[in-house]
Amino acid sequence: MGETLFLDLKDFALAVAAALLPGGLLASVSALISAGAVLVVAPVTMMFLTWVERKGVGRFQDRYGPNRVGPFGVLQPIADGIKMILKEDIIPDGSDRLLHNIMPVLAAAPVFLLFLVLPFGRGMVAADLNVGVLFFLCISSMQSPMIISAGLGARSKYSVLGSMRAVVQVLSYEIPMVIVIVAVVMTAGSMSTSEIVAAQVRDGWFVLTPWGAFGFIVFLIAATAEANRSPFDMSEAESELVAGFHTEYSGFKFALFQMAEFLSAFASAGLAATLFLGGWQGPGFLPSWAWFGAKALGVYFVLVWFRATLPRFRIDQLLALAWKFLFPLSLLVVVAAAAWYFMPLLPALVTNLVLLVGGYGLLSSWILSEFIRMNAPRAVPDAR
Amino acid sequence: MLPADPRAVIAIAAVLAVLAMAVPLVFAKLVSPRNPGREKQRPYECGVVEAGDSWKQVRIQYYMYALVFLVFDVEVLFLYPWAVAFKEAGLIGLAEMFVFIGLLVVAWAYALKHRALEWE
Amino acid sequence: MKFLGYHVAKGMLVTISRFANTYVQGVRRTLRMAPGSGGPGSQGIFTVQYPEQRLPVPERFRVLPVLIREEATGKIRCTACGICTKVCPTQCIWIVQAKGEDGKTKNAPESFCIEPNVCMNCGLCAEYCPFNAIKMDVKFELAEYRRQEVLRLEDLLVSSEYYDRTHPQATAEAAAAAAAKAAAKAAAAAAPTPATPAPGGTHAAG
Repeated sequence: MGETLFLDLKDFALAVAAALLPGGLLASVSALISAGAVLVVAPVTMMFLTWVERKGVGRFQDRYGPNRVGPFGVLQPIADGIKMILKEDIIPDGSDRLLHNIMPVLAAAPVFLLFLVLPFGRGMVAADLNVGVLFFLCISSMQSPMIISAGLGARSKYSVLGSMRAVVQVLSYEIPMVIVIVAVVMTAGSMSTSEIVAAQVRDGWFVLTPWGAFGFIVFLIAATAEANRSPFDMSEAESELVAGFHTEYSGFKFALFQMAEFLSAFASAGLAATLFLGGWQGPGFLPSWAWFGAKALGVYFVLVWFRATLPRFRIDQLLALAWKFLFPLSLLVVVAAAAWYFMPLLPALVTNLVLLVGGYGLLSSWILSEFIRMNAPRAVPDAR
Repeated sequence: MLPADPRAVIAIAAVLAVLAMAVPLVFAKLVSPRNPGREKQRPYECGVVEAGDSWKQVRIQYYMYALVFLVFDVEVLFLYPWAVAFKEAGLIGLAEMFVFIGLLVVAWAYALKHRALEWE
Repeated sequence: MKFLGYHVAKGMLVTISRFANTYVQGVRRTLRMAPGSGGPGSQGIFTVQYPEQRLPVPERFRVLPVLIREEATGKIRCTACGICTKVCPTQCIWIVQAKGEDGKTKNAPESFCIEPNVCMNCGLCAEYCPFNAIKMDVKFELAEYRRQEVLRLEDLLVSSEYYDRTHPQATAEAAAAAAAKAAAKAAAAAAPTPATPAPGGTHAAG
């Protein structure tokens, strides 16, 4: 039931538009409906996500989470939104007023574009680009200039340090993420997200292959870091940097930064579901968009689980993990994916396991010795 | 169903997204209170009087990572066209790309040896 | 273990088991709090979800003093005798006695003020009141949006019906005591030799 619910709704809206408007405008109306649907769904998703996150972390920490506003606290995000709008907007003296005003908007707006290329269901991708994955990566790395402008524009030491850290972290984790996606693109033979899902419908989910499983783990770690989420929340480490790059942003500007963070985390979860978990594919008792939603929420739950479990990395450990562990491991994933394609099943399995498990073992013993070396006492570096 | 041109969708969505973020911000400016004060407008430093300007030098290490990133990101981007044509390129293409990945690894080892990837 | 992620995986297992356990605990608590199982307090230590679930307030719970007005007649019991002001350890009670038009004092308060921020809820005023006019209330949710400087007569007055309802045991005891006294009096009146008050009896009471 409801398999084509959203497509039918769009067709209905288009039929209404066709009756009212001249035919030449119909293509623009179609685009407008697709874009508008995504723009309406995303903030609602964000509200739901904040609730899921707070309830989930509450459960992990043996407490209730929000439970005052509405049944089980589901109206809490709305109350928060109203509060954010009504809060005073403080622009510190000496900050760059222009950057301070426009950067929250420019940080939050690109995140919506991420959802355009995600296939929410069978035939339900708003903009079916043939370079969809590349588009996603470009737009998601547009956050770094916004973050660094926001941090520098606030002219507070916490903001400056937080934005520098955020950028170096996003840059470092971009590399393994991009390389792992190369493996997926290789196997699917296309950069279009809907083609990638179609390839998984044909060949089975990528996460079920050895290279896919390792790729999924690398992708998940890199996506967590890209979204500045705990345990990689160096840029907004509240115990060291107050709130990092958005220390000086209050009221609705803060809400915009939060929205950017939550939505980009959810978009990454959706991309992980698309690339590795078969996207909207699933047994027929649920419609395809429900399968996509369930998978994306499942991956998002893992991010919440990370946050509830792991203590924050130090910045040197964080960068070492990216450059000395995830980067070589992601190259191994690409090699393993090539072997998987060119070899018959059994040798491919053996090669994959030797490459990945062996590589994982070697790399992890190396990175652990590096961690120990980094912890050795040495001269205190200056705080810059 | 009429397939919409993806570029049109993206252009419309970009405009709508900026508007959807900017309009509530302007609205919030109108309805929120405005009580500036001398102490309130100072940059936040946990209640202590701020020490010096915030716009000053930061560690060189940040730029080192940015440079290394630039090298690798551009190189990795060359992997994408190959990845799309991976199946057509066959074993020859694979071998060529292994050489390319080998170069990437050499660059990485060079950066490692010269301690460009150390935070110190 | 010498590979990365072993302890991470271990820790993640610990937290997810905590996560799952909250649901088990939730089901258990629901069963324990279910009607028919004896309710809160019947089964060992438990946590009450305060605003939704409440423990019964004990009758002898005392918070702030109130003044009693007779439900039947509308008369204020207080006679402005001032004993409570004298026994109050924190001296937070002020009484002004009412005066008639002729300038003579009446047995009623013109103003009766209690400073709730100073009151330490000891209940001595209620203990000492000879007319049962001042009693300790059981209402404990006193949070206000504004700090109250002082409680005046009109803030303090409650009807005797309210007091009887919130203090059923004390009311029953008082009624029983009054009935016993009346019975003793009737018995004394019916006795053939009316007893004179014993000399020194008042001293014994003091």
